[in-house]
Amino acid sequence: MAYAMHGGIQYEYIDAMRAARGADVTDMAPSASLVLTLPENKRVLVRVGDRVLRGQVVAEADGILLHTPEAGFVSETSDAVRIECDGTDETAATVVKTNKRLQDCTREEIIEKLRICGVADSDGSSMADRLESADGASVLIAECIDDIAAASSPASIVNGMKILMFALGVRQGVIVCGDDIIDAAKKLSDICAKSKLIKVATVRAKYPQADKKRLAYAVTGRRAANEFVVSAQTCAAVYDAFVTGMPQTRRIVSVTKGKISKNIRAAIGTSFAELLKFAGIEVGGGGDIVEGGLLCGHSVSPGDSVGKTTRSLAVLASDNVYVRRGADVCIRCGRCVSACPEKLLPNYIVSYIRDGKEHAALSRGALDCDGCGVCSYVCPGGVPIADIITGFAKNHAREAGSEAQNERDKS
Amino acid sequence: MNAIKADGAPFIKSPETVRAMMADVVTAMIPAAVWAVWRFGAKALLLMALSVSTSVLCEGVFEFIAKKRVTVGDLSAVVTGLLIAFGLPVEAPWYVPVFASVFAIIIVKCAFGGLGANVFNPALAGVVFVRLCFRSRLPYSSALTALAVGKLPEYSVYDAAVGMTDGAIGEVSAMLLTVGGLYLIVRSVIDWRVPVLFVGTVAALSVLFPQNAAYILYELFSGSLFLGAVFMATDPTTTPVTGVGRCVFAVGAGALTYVMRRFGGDLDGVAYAILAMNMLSGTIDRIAAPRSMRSGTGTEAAK
Ligand code: SF4
Ligand code: SF4
Repeated sequence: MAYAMHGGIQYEYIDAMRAARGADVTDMAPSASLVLTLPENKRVLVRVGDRVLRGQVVAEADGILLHTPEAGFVSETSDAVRIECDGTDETAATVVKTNKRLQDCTREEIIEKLRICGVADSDGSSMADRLESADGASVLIAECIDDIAAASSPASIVNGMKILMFALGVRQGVIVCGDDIIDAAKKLSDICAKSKLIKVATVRAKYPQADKKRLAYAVTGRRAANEFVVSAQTCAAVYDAFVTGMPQTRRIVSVTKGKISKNIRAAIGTSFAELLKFAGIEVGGGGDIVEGGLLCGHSVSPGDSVGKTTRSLAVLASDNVYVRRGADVCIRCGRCVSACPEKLLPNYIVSYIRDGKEHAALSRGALDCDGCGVCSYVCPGGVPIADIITGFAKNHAREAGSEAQNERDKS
Repeated sequence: MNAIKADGAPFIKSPETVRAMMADVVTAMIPAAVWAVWRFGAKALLLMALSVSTSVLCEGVFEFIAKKRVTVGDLSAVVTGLLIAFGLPVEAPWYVPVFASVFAIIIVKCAFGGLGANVFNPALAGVVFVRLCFRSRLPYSSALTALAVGKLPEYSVYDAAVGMTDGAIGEVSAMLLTVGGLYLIVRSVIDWRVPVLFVGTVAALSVLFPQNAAYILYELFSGSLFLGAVFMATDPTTTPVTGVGRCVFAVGAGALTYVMRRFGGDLDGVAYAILAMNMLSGTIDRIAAPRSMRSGTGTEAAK
């Protein structure tokens, strides 16, 4: 079974990713000190000097519990919690196995377990919260396109899906794989053959396809489908949390530079510098590491560390960096149109924005743009399309925000 | 934090450039150009040289005087120049390609805002312009001429397809133009549906409403149908940007070609058909916009 998805491109980076998909996952021993990065919205639950045990809660960030992957001492708690590991493997008392069978559990028990274990999806959303507020989904879709977890733990993915399906009360599951991981897809279908409730489907491996809305559209054919889409690696984490009670403290990260590509299971809090060193990848001058894909990712520094949503790191070769060319002229070739996964007309939106025709840009769906960047990539005219549209959308949101503020001030 | 972050997505270098695209178009025109020289002699080469150099010069000078970035390096003026020569008969005096190029580049292209902003295909407009100005100096005969007076040409359909016929220097060999078209399709410079639908529409209409069944194949392979379908109707700037829109454009141009050939005053309607459709490109884009994935906008006309 194969689904068709609109737009997207195939590009060199995918070759490297493909190598990563075939490759095994290597376990990386935790480094001596781990840095658990915290967002603005946080509550730190430990103090400097505290001794913490593996799997103990150290902070709550954006409504998700954060645990220490290893036992050790807390040495910093301001912007991040830094743990100096002491090499012992004392585990927190809160880490308890589930002894019940899935059928005997209640939905609430499952949600509580995921909350205690701080399981987050690859977009950073809390799985517990999402399950709690899930509404109207009839299918669970596991996205296994950008995700290499399939290769390493197919059984965990399927079992994790069963848990989620049980909690959601849905009777149908679909695992969507890129067609470049046929081996992994085959393993998954072998496992699913018994269950009948879960089937495996493929889509052509292109960038970008992991988006939840678009995946739901491809599977159901409905635009506003509110299906429950979750990444495959998260399914595996759900299973681990449910069975072992071990919180989410590891991520499989694929690291790439040129044709070199490795998958590494690293403790959350491992610094990117150490991760890359472990992978044998050299980093040039600062600022050439991109997290989350070379098209729409974001630039990170070597000192940042692996978090619950880290999926991939790529080190740019200096001769392969997107440069603004002097040209910047639209020749109306239409490549951006056929590449845009959101089915927009990027060239028209850009020309409306540049002409100051805000209304026209909006009515053309400027706010639907998710900034994936493929339009800029395929544009022969060198128009920085994605930058222009996302910049416009940000401005618009800011203006809309301040207008609403003014309204409130008046009344 | 650093330069890369400030720029945002994408991070990876794009291999696409206008120059590479236009270089592909020039490459695709080489078989037909060689054929033109072989069949019509060195004069064909002179016409090509004159129109290409005038086009490039005009664009460079215009941009220099207008204090714009000089963009001759993108090779689009070379393509325009070659296409102009392709549309002229070998008898054309030397000043004809020069006039056509000046008109095409200065009036049709640059005055509208340069590459990407022009409404009409510059090469086609240039050729039509000189045909109107210098009609008596531009004798034209092709299979269409014979068919117009109800005769079959002296050569076979096979000769017509290969290009052993008369006509404008670049239009005679439907076969070699197809070779160029295939190259452009393989290099994904053009959308295969456009030439296929263009020629297909003319063929279908000729079969459905034949003037004379024996004429049909001659009609298809003669005149500038293949030149127009492969190189003019696929011009990025002057045609719609959506896949559906391009198909509409191709079918429309094919239908107009058929109608003009049957009922029009000029022998060959291809140029007029494409120029007429050029005017509709913006409208077609507006109507044939895809519905966006999230909010489903796009169907309503942008104001
Ligand atoms: S960045 Fe926006 S406009 Fe460009 S391809 Fe992606 S979604 Fe479409
Ligand atoms: S890809 Fe670039 S040149 Fe082509 S239509 Fe889009 S904006 Fe214009």
